Amino acid sequence: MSLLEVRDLKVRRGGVPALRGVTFEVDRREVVALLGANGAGKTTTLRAISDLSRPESGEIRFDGRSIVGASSTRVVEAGIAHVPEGSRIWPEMTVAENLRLGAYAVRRKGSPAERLDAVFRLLPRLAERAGQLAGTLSGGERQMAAIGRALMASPKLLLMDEPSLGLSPRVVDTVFDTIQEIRRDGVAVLLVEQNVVRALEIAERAYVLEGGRIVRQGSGEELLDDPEVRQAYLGRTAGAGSPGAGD
Amino acid sequence: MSSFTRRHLLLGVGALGGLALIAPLLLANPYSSRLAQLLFMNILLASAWNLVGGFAGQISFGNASLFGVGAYATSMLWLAGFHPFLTMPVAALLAALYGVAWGWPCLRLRGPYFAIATIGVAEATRIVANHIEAAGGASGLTLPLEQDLGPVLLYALGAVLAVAAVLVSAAVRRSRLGLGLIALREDAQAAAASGVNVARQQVTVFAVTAALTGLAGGYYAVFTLYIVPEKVFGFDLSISLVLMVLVGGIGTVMGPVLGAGIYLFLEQFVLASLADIHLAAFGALLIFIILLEPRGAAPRVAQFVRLIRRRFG
Repeated sequence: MSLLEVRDLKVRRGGVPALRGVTFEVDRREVVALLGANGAGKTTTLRAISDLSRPESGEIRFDGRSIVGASSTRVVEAGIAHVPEGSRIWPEMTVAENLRLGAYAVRRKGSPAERLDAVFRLLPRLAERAGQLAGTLSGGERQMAAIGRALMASPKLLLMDEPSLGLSPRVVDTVFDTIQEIRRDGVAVLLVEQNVVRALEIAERAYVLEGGRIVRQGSGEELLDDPEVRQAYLGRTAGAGSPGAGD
Repeated sequence: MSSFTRRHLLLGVGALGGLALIAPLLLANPYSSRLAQLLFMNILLASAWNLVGGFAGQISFGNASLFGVGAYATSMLWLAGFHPFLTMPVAALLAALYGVAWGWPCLRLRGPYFAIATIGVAEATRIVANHIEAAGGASGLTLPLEQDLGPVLLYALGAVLAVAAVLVSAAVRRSRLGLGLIALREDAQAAAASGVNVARQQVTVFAVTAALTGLAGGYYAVFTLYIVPEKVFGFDLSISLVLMVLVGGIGTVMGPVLGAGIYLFLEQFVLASLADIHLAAFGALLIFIILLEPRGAAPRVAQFVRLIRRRFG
């Protein structure tokens, strides 16, 4: 049984169909990338999973239980944490307060102090910045704070929406290293990312969305070698490793 | 509340000690005694308003309805023979009940919709209060002058209430729920993504606001010895609270304290000659402050304090 199973998910946004029947799954301890152009439905998929938008029909099962219609608090409690696009930390609060808020929904899961220690071990920079207002952090540190906040909920699955967007190449490296470490700690990651090459390099499997449908799926390597994917996202050149045109 | 630290308690005791030290100065004559009473009442009212208005971002223009309930509860019980101190908890409780009764439905609204609903509730309350003959109707209630608590007791009561309100405010600011409310106010999307779902718990904090506002009403009745619906349920009162907090610094613990002081100072010394239009003049000041310093006086004062500390510490 997969950790997350999404079956025939349909979502409308402003009356227009955004997802037209999306089916995919994420296994335990697996990084799965969700690729596609702007407007293909990647963010909508993540939002439907964490109950930020309501599906029209379809099924979302997590850990064997349906979570369609469960409140966002219940979704976090069940073990799904969301790192929204653009980090969305609270700039007027300290880093420590931001992290505390990440554990808001999961009061019963162990002590927050232990989780905080674990987050600080993974992201030592946050420990140095704990007392600082989050608004004073650099872009990379903000992204780390958002990841740390999500990890405070001790999730089994992390939804990440464009974690490398707007960051410098060196910081992007750190973000991807962090994703690998998160997986090593036993957390599955569903990754929406415009940096297609980097995403496919670390993902076990990937799905390509187009117009609200999954049009392609396979292992990270398969999709990296897929001529159509290369054409759509990486340009026609055969040389691997150059960052793709994001959308 | 678990986040209520020993440091806060010490600060509270320190503040009370300081107020005790300057008491002889403020109790020098009836006018200065009255100023102190008004200041304590304003601090209590503004801090109470800020719990929901500042931390949760739900702007109420209807807190006079809670103040009036407290003022009437204390007055009627006092006239029935109870000691004024004993009436205070009842004033707080009744105001809290009334606050929950209308806050529970109204707090489902957000932003301007909530604000408008509060005006409706407060005005309806005022009109009804004007017609309750058992409570003196429009001519209000006169309290037993001969049982006046005297300036010293009133000063002490006011000081305790004001300091307690600030401590409650600090405790709420640091509490789990307080943090959740601020998170919701600042970024509802991020709050939802993090599973912070506190919209319904606003009513808990509003009950605290209402209880403190009711206490302020009771205190007002005890030191003025005369209440009328037009004053204690009046729209002027509701608006003055909003102005105090905005001028002082909304969503901060010390902002309402500063705002209460600034408001009293302007009302008594600068705008007294303008009599009935002092709210309009204060409104003009508010526009000025929002243009220059949209977050109120508190952040600037904090900056100044840090500067002084660095210079001399």
